Amino acid sequence: MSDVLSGVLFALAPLAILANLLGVTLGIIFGALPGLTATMGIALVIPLTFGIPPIVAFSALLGVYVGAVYAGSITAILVGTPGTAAAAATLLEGPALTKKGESKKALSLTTISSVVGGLISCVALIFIAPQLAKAALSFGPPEYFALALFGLSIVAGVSSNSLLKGFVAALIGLFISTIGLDPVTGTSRFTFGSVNLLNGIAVVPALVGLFAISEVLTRAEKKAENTSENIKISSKKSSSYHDLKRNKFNLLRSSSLGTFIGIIPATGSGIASFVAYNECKKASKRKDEFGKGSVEGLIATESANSAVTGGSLIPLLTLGIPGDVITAVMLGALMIQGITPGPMLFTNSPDIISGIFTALVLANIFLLIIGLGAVRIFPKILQIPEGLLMPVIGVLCVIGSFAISNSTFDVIVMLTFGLLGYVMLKVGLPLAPLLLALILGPIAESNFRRSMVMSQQDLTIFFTRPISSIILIVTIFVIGRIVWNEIKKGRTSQLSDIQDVES
Amino acid sequence: MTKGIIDAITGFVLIGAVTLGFMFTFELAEQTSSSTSQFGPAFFPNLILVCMALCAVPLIIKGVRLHYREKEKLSIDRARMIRISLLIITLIVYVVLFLTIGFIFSTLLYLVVGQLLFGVKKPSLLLGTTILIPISFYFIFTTLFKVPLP
Repeated sequence: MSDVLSGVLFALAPLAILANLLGVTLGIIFGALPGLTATMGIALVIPLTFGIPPIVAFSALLGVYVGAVYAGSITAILVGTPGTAAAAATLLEGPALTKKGESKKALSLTTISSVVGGLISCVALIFIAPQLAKAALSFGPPEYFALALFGLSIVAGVSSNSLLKGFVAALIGLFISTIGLDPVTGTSRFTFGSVNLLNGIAVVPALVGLFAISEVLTRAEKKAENTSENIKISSKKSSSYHDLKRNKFNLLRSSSLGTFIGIIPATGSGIASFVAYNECKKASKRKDEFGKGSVEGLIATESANSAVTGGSLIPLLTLGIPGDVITAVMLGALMIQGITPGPMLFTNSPDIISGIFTALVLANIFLLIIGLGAVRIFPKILQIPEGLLMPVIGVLCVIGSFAISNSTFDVIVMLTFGLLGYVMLKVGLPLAPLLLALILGPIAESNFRRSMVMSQQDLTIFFTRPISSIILIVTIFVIGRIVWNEIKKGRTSQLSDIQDVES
Repeated sequence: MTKGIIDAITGFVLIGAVTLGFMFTFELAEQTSSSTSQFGPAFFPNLILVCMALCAVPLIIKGVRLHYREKEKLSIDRARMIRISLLIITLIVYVVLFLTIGFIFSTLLYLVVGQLLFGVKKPSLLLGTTILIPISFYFIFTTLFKVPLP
């Protein structure tokens, strides 16, 4: 109990609060600017958190996460361009409200809905995570192998328009993850005599390169353009109170949906907000308002996409398995702090867990304060010139990757992965499966090999243990469904091609 | 150039990478031939390479098919390609200079070239950023984060 309390107090210490506040502010900037993503924001902040206490580091990172997921909607509402993919559903109602002259009301409702969604997901995290961690204490290598395989195959399957390309990207990541010492025998693999490669490819410089440098290069393709010349927030006075009171069930339903979807691997904020929007529309008595600036619709999308933040941390903290690319990046942050997420973290370091929970709640409170207090500053964020921002991100990538362990090799790894990421994007290979494979690969391999040692090379061990067999059956079922959908999609496009030719 | 051709080339590059990978895993298998386990250090890499080859073949086939169906060819914008190539070279040179002449001067040079490539023309913005960023970052990292920058 005293450990739990010390974690809470640590998260409430001035340094942690300052880190959290700065994180939320930075997250809002990253989320609001199209082209800069939550993933990139967290990736760039991770190297800065090396060497500072874990709870302070996580206060900053969770702040960035919460701020960026929320702020994608600001651009969607004000200029009709989502700042992040998670805010795509905001386009359904946000711009229409701005056209009606209700941008201030839309932004206030977005802020409050996001905070409610975020806080409900925090409650779910606080209550579900410890129970799941208790259950996961009985997991052995076969279960962890099954879980890693599940995470990998689902992410590879749904993260791109092409199943094949998703798998290719995941396989490239898996192969890169085998570089270094073999986890069981200690034999060096693909190191070419380099001492730097013995511990494998460092995840943080790799992800900084993959998500930041590749984005800088992609943005350089287009001539630098300002998102907006002169955006003004409407001065029309309108109270959000009655809208919120009218939508309390909508808020609760959408937040719960968002939290639940966040727990499922490879889903994320984008899917959660579309699902919540559809459910809200089905239940609404004012269906005709949808698509024309419906407040109900906006509340549903915003509460759901922010509710994903707490939900997605559940599998990461309890099982050590990241469900999406942002939590994969968070896993990188845990790793550089020397923390191994999983059920043992709940038993051995309850202070860190309670600190993380408190930091997430605090981040949502700061979001409310900044979001409501700085509405008039948002258009200014959108006017930061891209031509200035992108080269500065390049500088941050170089210093950040160097700062992790003062290693020049890490800077080279960062640049190599940046170029690899750019080439992959150019040929249509998604980056998320590569990163997840890079992280899940060693978990899958080491647990597979340990399982083989346990069972004396008997592969049936994965099906004779109930939990691993259930996870594997679910994996096979889901993969089967993804493949079936892909085949159906292929047939439909062939049919339309034939129809095109005939006409 | 069409999207189909790009897919086919990606498939061929993968086949090349798989061949190279098998050469290295073959050496690995020889090094650890004394291991009694059939699931040795070469097992996982070999399995991944087999899967890669299995994905590369349909990628090539689909790419070739797509090439014959595609009506639109991807246009190559020469100015864009030059800008990207210059930025890649700038980044590589920046990393080399960062490791050799140090942070401040390399960053000064990189920021000037980087901003020009991104279309910043306003001298006040160009100069202001070029001077302020390296100095403030140097101060923040060395003093606050205690990172000894080169």
